[in-house]
Amino acid sequence: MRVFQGSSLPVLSRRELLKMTVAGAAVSAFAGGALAKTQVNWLGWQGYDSPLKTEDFLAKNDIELAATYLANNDEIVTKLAAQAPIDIVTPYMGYVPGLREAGLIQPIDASKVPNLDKVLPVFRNDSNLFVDGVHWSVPFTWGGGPMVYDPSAVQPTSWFDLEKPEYKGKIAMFDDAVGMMLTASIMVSGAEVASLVTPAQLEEIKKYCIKLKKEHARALFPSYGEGADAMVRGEVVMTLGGAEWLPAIVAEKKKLAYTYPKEGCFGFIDSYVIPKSAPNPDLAHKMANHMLTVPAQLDLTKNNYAVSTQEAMDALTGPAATMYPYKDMPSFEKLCKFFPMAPSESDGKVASWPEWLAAWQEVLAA
Amino acid sequence: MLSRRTSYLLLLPAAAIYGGLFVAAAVYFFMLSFWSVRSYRVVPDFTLGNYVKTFTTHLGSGEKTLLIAFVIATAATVLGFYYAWIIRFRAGRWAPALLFIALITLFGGYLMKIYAWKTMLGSDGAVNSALIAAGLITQPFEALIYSPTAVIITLTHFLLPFAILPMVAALRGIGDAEIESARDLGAGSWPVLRDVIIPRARTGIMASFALCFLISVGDYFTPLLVGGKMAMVGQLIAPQFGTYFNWPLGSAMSFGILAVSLVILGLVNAGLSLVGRQ
Repeated sequence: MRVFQGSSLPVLSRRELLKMTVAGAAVSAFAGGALAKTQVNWLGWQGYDSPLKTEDFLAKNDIELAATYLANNDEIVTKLAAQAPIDIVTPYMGYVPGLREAGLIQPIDASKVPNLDKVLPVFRNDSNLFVDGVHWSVPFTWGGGPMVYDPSAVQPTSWFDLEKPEYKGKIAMFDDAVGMMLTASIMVSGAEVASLVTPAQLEEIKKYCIKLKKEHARALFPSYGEGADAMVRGEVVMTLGGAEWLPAIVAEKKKLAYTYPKEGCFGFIDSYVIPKSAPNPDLAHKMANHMLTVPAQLDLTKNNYAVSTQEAMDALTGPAATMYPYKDMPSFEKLCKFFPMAPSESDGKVASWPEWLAAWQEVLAA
Repeated sequence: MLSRRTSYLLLLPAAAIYGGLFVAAAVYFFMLSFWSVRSYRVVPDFTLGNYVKTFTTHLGSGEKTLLIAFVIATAATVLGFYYAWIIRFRAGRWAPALLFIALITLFGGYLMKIYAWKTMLGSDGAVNSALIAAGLITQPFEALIYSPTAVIITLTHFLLPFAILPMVAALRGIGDAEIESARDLGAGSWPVLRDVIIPRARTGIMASFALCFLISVGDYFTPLLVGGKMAMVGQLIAPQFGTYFNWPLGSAMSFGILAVSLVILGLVNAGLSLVGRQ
């Protein structure tokens, strides 16, 4: 059977065509093998993979990035516990001690991440991430849980300003268990480490959140963006928790500001962590190192994330340069603390993370 | 004519999809509702603890959800019935146009409708502005948004086409002769409605109510965006399958609320069957 019959085309038999197809496939397989890329499995928050695409880094290192985005930090625990072949994960820093103690992650070989020295010590040497002279992660971004407010209506200095009667029904809370409960813990638990509280202290935190919700909040907003919209409309003047980037995203519509109240805030550091079962640890180290280059760090600011190296801070321009308190890091260090996660199981003395979540559900339902 | 065997064979693809994607998943989650979670892992078990927690800790939000869903379903069914009645008995040649209007609102997305109502019910929204302009209020009526009222208004609007469609189908099945016969026997408007139309359209009314009720019970996005401080049970179930990683409790909560919902639907159906019964 002839497959091509056109006057200008060569006439091929089915057997000839088959031969050519097989030969072509063999050549491509050979060429493909010679140029094979290494698949690196990446599990993290959406946007934290974008800096890897700067400077042609992936192509230059023959890396095929297989990115899976997280819905929550617990996914990291479950996938690593199941020995999934993952090269890099990006947990909230509070999860790193638990992952380390469970033997699920490997120490960072600092000699393979020379850029680590450029990270500000407050992040690089955080006690969740740096233990007994060993780095367990490569921090690349951070932030706090400040109060966002409308400066035309209020000039808050304390979290307890939220309780002032004149702002009744004018404060925003968010459907964010960590942010709300940790901030409330800082306010009322009296615990030295706000995330490590007794069940009785947790009960206090819960009751306080319920009181704030019922007596003072306008709404429990599903996201910071929704809360910012309500501030633009003048429905809300202060928030319990929030983010430094919130004023920037509504700057064209309304002037908002943020502050770290005097009682303090929780802070977070997000970092690249290499699982013990990582199939490509060398490439994972290389990727972690690239995350700290100036172009990669600046790429983070496209999604309103903070940069963590001094040279990246110096290179910032425009709104990104003032979105975070880069000019006053000592104040940030003084007021924002990086709390470890509550334990996964209760020992009766320290409330477990599931107990925190159950308490938050009661706040939501109240 | 298709043979009975051929008819059953033709049902197979749909049955396979329904069985694989719904029945098998439902059986799996029902089984899971008796399991437990330890150290971020779901562990096979046989515990009623998840159901106990569902009917103790989450009882309040469950009751609130069922009440709000009942109000929404009732409002949508009553409004839907009236609209369908106009299409069937009053609109004449305009009936297809009215049906088309009801249908076309389905093309507007779910989120779009929520945000539209959010804009209209807000402090500076159209409703408050109109009330102020009319001199009925001097300050924006804040309870319009971030309240159960906002959830009821938004979901009733969203569900109205779902209520109208089964009702139109049901009312179309009622012949003019039936109504004329009732009138010939001296029945006025209300007896005709009570003794002829409602009993004959009961399946459609029930289908409308059940659709609206079950969708409202399971909805968690509308209360999240316009409900303010309130939480419907869907908002508590959804994070069990994400942030909280407690699939067994999430499954128990789902089956718990489903069971109570079915009981309520059974009672509504029984109540409806009494209408028109002499």
